[in-house]
Amino acid sequence: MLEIKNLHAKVGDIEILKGVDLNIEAGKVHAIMGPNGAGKSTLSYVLSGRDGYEVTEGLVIYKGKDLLAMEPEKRAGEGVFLAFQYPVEIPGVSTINFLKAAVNSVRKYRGESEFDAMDFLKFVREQTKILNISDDMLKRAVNVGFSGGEKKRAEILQMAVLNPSFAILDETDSGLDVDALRIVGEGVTALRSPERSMLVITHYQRLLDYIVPDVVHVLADGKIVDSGDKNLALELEKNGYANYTEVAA
Amino acid sequence: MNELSPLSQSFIAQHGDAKFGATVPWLDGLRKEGIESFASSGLPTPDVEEWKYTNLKVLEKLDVARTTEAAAIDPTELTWLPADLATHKLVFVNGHYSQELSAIGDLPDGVRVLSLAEAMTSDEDLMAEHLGQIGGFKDAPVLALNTAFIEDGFVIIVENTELENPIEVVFVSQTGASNSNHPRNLILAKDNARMTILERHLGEGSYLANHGFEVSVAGSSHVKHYRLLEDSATGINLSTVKARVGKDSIYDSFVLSIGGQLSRSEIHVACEEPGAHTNLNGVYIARDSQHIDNTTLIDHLVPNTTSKETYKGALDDKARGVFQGMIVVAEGADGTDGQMSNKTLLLSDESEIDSKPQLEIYADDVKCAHGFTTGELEETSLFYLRSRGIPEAPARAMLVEGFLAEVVEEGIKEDYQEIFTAKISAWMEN
Repeated sequence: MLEIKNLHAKVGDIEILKGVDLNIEAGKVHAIMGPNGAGKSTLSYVLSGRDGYEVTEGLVIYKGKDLLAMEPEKRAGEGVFLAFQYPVEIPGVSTINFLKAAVNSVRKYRGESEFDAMDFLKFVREQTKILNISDDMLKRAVNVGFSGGEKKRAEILQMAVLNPSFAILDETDSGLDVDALRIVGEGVTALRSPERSMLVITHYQRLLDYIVPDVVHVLADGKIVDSGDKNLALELEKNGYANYTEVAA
Repeated sequence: MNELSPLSQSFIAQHGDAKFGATVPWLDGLRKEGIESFASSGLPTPDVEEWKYTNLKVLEKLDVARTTEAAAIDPTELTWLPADLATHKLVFVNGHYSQELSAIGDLPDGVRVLSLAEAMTSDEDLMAEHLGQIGGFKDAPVLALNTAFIEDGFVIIVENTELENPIEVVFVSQTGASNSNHPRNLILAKDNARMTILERHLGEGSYLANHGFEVSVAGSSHVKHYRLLEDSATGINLSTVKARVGKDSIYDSFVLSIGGQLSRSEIHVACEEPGAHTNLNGVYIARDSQHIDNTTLIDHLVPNTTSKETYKGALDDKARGVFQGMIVVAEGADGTDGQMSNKTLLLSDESEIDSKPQLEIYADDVKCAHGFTTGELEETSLFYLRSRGIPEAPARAMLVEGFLAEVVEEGIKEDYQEIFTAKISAWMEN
């Protein structure tokens, strides 16, 4: 599904990713954990195509295609999705209209028929129940005045309706209380499928209680320094990242 | 002072030659006052502080001799409201009321909707009482010029009645043998009157449309005055609104400026009695080398009056925007609350906004604030939309429309929002 080879990237003059190698097979959930400043968010932005992140070396092959050559909207069309750590507020644009524009854009890209307003509402309501999202929330401007939990649930709703084959969840647990974490975790778990891979980026282990990963990696100082099964996350929770940061330093 | 420009002189000469339809002594006197006031200064130049950013030199290219006859208009081109919306409709072609194109329909008791030309004979005393009285034109040469040419326009009088259907007014201007028109309009609301006016300005070719409005809202009345300025690419639209708001009354103004080579909407509101409130809102969008000016003055003259003002714009190419907002709180006008905000998105390197919000406060106990911002589209927001599959161009349009839609939602009653947001969307798609 996704193959990252020797990926180097810098922001301004500072090299953040220093040779990341990662293979994610179809249907698998990989978690990336690591200390602050390790390059976790940079990796998510490089994969989703944000400006200002310059790839200096390496490549990313996604479904046999050169992912890094694609514009962000094309990546979305091809099935890449990023759940933002800090979802962006879009004043004056209702959530439902935003969702409809997004879904119809990717459906058009994929050669599928576009939804009209009525059909779309029906389609969205199939997803809003599990995420506890009200119709009122859909009418409000995108993320404007949303609580931390509402923002993250809205991200997962977007993921559900855009039907990606590769989803990156960047610190989706940040700013969530226990109840919100459970709703988001169950929402994501419901979206696991043999055709969909996920990369769950997190600082803490707690999200992984709900989204149980197949593989856990440790990212420190711009490189993957360790990999293991879900038990690695538990060890990290207990021992912290000190060992890795010392190694990296 | 004595050196009037050839352009100003041509207006004066034109006035001397004019044969006005209605010859009423007091009206001739008012026109004379208008032209004399205009002649004392001529058209304003950028040397005048209020006109520093808007230069009327563009008018020199126009043969401004006044329009006297209306040419044929295709009525279908004047349609802009949903077909199922019942209105009382007045159409003015080159400043003159068109009986054929208008459809005022039945009016409830307490409501008069008619042309000024007709009101001059049917309601002469009432016209004499109000015309030129609500707002002075001594320091307003453009309104003085309008006054010099008073002949027609709309008159709306609502007393002690809630007018259910909106009043629709369409002003259409055309290039012709003579290219300027000066409609004068009067809105009077008193004793719990309620009304909505939906007003559209459009045109073909090059022309000057110079509108004067006098508005009086008194005795717990509420006037909603929503205007769409979409003049032709070479049209010039000037308008001056002078409004007086009385006890517990509200004047709501919304101006959407999307057309014209140059347009200036000037609005002066005087909150004259306790409980008076005004909402002044507007959206301006421009491209190419369009110039759009919104100038407002709110006078809080007595205690406990309030105002809220938001103008937002988006400028592309070499377009230029001007926002001049002034709030004056008179001595003793305690309890005044005046909030003013102006925000502009610059969509190109060469677009420009001159924003000048000002407060003059002579009272002690007031709550006033003003602010303005100018910026480009947020990269983060654009990336967010694109990461959801929305291509760059529609993503940009969505962000701009969202930014502007907030003012439409704030400034216009829900039923009519769609009329204005659709205009903004259509402009974005061009």
